[in-house]
Amino acid sequence: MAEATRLRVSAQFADDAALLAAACRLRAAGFAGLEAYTPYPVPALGALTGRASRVPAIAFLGGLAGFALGLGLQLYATIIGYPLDVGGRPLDSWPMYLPTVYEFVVGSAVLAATLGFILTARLPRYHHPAFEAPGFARASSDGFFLLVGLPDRARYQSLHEELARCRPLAVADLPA
Amino acid sequence: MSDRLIAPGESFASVTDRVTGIVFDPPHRLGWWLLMLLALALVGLGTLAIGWLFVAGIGIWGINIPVAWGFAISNYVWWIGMASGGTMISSLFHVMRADWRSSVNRLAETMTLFAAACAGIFPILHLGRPYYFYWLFPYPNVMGLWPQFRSPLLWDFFAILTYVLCSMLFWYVGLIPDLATMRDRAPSRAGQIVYGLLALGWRGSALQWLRYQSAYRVLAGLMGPLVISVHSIVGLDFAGGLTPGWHSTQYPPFFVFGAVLSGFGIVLMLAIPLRRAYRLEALITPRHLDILARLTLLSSLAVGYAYAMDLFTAFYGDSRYDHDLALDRLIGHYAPLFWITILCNLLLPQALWWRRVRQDTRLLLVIGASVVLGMWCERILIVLQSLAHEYEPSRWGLFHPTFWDWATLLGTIGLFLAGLLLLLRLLPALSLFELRDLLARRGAAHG
Repeated sequence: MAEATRLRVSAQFADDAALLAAACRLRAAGFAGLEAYTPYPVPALGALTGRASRVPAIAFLGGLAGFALGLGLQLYATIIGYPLDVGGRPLDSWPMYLPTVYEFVVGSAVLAATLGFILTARLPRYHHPAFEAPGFARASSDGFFLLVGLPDRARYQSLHEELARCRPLAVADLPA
Repeated sequence: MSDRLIAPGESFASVTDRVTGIVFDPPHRLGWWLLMLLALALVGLGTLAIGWLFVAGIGIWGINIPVAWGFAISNYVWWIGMASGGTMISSLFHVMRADWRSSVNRLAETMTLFAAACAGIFPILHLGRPYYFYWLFPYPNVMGLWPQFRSPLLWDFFAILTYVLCSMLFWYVGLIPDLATMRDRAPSRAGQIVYGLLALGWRGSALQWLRYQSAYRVLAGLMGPLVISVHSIVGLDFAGGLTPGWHSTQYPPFFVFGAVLSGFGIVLMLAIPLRRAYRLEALITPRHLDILARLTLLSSLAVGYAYAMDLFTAFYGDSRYDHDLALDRLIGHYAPLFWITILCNLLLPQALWWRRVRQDTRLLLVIGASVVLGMWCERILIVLQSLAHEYEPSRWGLFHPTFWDWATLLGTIGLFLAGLLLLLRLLPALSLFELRDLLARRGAAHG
């Protein structure tokens, strides 16, 4: 959402299809700063944001880090830290380290995916303007909301006209 | 197909009300308290047993030489097996995009959490000097020692640690959108604050859902292989020993089969009373139970195959010790355990071939319980019988469980039950947003 956003208008819709249609329509009319809120994932709305998730890449990097840490730790411990000669067997018996490395890889990837999700989803967040929308508590149950940010009042009237054509259940101006 | 996964007539609001109602306006308060008191009494007994163990040492248990692994290890394997089965339901069927998972995944994951916690207690108690358990951590210390990374027992330590942490994260990430629902519906200010903090400010924006779904897919994809590795490593704890009966290459998959079987069994055992007590029949439908029953049957056949191969390789092989052990399993001192295992894990579940059995919740409950009991017998049999019947007759001996062995086992059952009961009253028992998603897609299919 643009930093210069000064006005926010919320609109509630009956279902995901109406919300999606409204989002497409406003987008086509040139309104930027649209944010849709739904009680369950609606992939088409996600596609509208035009952004891809970086979480898989973050998880992959986490896994790589886990691999390096797990293998490095074991090689250090068994070659340098505490070399133990068992009947002349090699100290760097890496196949025996793989199960532990595997656990390190999965553990780090899960941790990275979780943190990656929390951060890229802009969480944790104490407050957000969306929570000011009337009836927004239903967005986590059966409410479908669209939030439109405007940089100034220039298109305020046309936004309301455009929204009215999308048959919303309710429209409200949010406090700045 | 998804039609039958939710009863007709349910809406977003009715699903939300039904599930959050269990927390905010709980029915059966008296029954809940009675069960909770029972669970807490068991926890008290277990705490007493563990306290006495710390004072007196593991001599209070029935273990000795030659049977130095007893209840602690088999209970550990049993609990971690049920935990693994729960994660398997949740992660594998998410990756396979099986719609039916939505109503049971939260239950399975919550069950996993407490089963894994119960499992985690035992290896530490089993240490002669439990206060040195942290020696398993690889940390620089003044003794200049490092753990033995080539031992399956240490692999197991890392596997369990990773598994417990990852299960918690997987469970929590799966809960975040539902915590937001709880925040928005909590009647009390305290509830709003606590659920609000836990929900991290979730709003359900399109961008958040996008990232949420991709993260959840990644987590589910990682959890499945993790579970298989965890229980395979548990199998390697045994296979890594030279003891007859344990030293077998089939142990890792054999243990995974058993884990999955007991996981399905315990989920059946929990889902059936839950749906009945809290009127969730519309959400946990006969179709869910039917699928769980079929999966129980499938995994029962898988363990049956493993039992058959276990005996086959023993007799096909050339080791008289293996012959002797296999024969001892069939007719020796521990044979009753073996035959109970066969009855509970293999024979009784065959009833699930019949549709009428799969639709009868009482029979399903009995079969679920029989499988859980059967898996306990199998684990204790594996641990005891091989140790009691090693190579030389001079090393033969029996294990007699003491009061404290049973008290510790009962204590963990109490802990499991108490944990589940507590979370039932604090968190949504079913995944709300996945049910909504299911409803939305069903609507789309009809419209």
